[in-house]
Amino acid sequence: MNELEALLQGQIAPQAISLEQLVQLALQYPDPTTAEYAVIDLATNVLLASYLNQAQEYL
Amino acid sequence: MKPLDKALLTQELSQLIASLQDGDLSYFDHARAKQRILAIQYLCSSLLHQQNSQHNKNQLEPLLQAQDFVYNCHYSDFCCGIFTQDQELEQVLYQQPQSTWALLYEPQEGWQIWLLQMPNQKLLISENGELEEVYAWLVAQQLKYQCFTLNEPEQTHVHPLTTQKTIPQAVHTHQAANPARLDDAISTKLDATYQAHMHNIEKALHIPVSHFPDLLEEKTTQQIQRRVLQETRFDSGTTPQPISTRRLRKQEIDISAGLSFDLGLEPLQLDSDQPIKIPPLFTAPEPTLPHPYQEPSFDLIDFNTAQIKPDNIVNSALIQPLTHTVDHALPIESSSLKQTKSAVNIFATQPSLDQLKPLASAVTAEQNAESELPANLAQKMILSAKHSKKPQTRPNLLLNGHSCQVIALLFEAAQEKQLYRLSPEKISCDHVDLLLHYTDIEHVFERPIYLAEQTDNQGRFVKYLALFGAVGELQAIRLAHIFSHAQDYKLAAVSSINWASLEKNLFDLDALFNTYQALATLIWDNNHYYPFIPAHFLQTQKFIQFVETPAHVNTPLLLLKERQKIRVIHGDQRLGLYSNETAYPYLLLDRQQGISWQMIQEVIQRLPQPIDPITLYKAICTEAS
Repeated sequence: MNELEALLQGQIAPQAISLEQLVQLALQYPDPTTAEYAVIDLATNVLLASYLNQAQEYL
Repeated sequence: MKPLDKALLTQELSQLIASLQDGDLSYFDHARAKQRILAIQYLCSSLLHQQNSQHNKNQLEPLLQAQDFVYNCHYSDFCCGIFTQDQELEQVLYQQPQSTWALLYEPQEGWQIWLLQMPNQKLLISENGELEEVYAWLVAQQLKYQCFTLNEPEQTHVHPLTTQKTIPQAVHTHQAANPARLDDAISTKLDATYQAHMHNIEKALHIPVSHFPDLLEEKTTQQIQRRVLQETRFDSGTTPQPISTRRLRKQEIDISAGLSFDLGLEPLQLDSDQPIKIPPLFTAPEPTLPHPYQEPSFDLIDFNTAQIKPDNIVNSALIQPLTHTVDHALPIESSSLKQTKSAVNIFATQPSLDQLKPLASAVTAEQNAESELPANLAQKMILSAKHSKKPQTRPNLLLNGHSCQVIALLFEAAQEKQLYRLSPEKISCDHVDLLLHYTDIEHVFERPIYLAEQTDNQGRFVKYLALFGAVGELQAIRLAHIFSHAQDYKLAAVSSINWASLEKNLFDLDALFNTYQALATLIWDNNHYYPFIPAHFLQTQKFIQFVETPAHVNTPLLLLKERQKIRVIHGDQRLGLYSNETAYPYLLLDRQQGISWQMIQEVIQRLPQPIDPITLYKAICTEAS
């Protein structure tokens, strides 16, 4: 979770986030009323957008 | 789309990219990988399109966009409004009987979130930025402090159009934490045209959130609660307060741009008893890595250089307006414009969509309409902020007998806030930046002076900042941050002190340090603050040798004051970090507290090594008490 916060604060790049851990965190915090859920939600937005941009190069 | 769905999609994308990078795929697998990427892109394309339209809307109609944003955000129940004036925001915040937050909009600086963790407690203020950036900051604060306790989502909202009650301050918005999200984003993805249609319906209805029944109506009758500023006056005879009691505000910076574009599709509530609510899709600009801060121009212009005359120098008790001014420096009169910058609390005033439209159009039309004052109050607000003020010639100030030039700062925020640098003419003043907020100058010395400790981006002490003329603590904090940020510094803490205490000590570093530590009242600090002590005050040789934990820049020295010397108990690691620091963060013990070297030795022997300074400090305090 600290890494996701660092990602949101621009302290680390999206590539530094372990996607497996991200999935595990998303599974761990399914309750949308929690702050952790909100952080994961924001972080997945950033990560998905980043990887979409990256994938664009191969099309 | 749930975070899990997005995480899985991201993971899949990562694997596809990796396989394409390897280049050892068969033609079939290669094509299939590309096809899958295209499918994922297609899944997001309509949402990306909406992201762009939302971004455009955000540029043109910031307040409307913010209203929608708050309406749909996770913690909308705790938002008490959108404001354009910090004074009104502060007033409303402190009337809230619970944890609350609010948005502050300034056209030049963007959005800011003010978060009141608890009534009468800490006020946290984010950096300025885009809505999504400051919201990410809010989420991070919630993660740390759990300010808001979300209840189970309510499904019993009265239709907003049937509830026309106006609650001017407290705002209860739709319960955005609706868990009824779609389980499968793909299967439940609405047609984009249909979404746009429904969005238009919502815009046409455009329901101010204050139309919702306000479950917190009783707040309006609550006694106004003022913040209890935590006074931690330092006294060498007493132990410094724990840092947890010294915090008032946290500051997060460099929040990544383009954070919150919700890929998720919320189910539409088409029940006639339910408000029609379109969930936000992509509500942020094109997601990119955070762009570096663009430092504003920080050139100094001294308009007084050619005008220094004895009669220009005025005493602080009697400051006369300068009778001769530079022709080209005549500014647009900021005060009159600022008066028109009325606070617009969307939730409080409940403007209709049509009422707010001119506000947005004013942004684009303001360049053509600069010469005339718009009739619409909201237009005035936008226009007033858009006018760039030219620096104005100011008379010199006398600080403790030293004549100081009042030098205009040319970056926009400084002009907007009427910030001037004070430059003593005949005395060196390298240890403190002198800053003047030029308003009600006749009474500037009757107000508290705000002293701040500035650090570089690594957290190393640079110099003090003395701010004159700030009206209130919150304004002082904001102005100090603006100035410090423009110099690429950061603030470690802000304290207030009266002029009588500071006057004779301002221009001497040692005296200023002693005064600051003894008499200044802390009003804000960052989340890892320890006061700084000038390096030349210290006897750095450690008496008792033991293994210290590794230090970082915020690790304090643990010091013992005995007679006229201040010796290091713990700090070899910290002192060795950099070779040229002028001051260090510290914790100070005093032999007058009954602390002896023998006692310290005994405490050290009891503690497992390596020892960190905080643990040692607490152990010694416990032993001495």
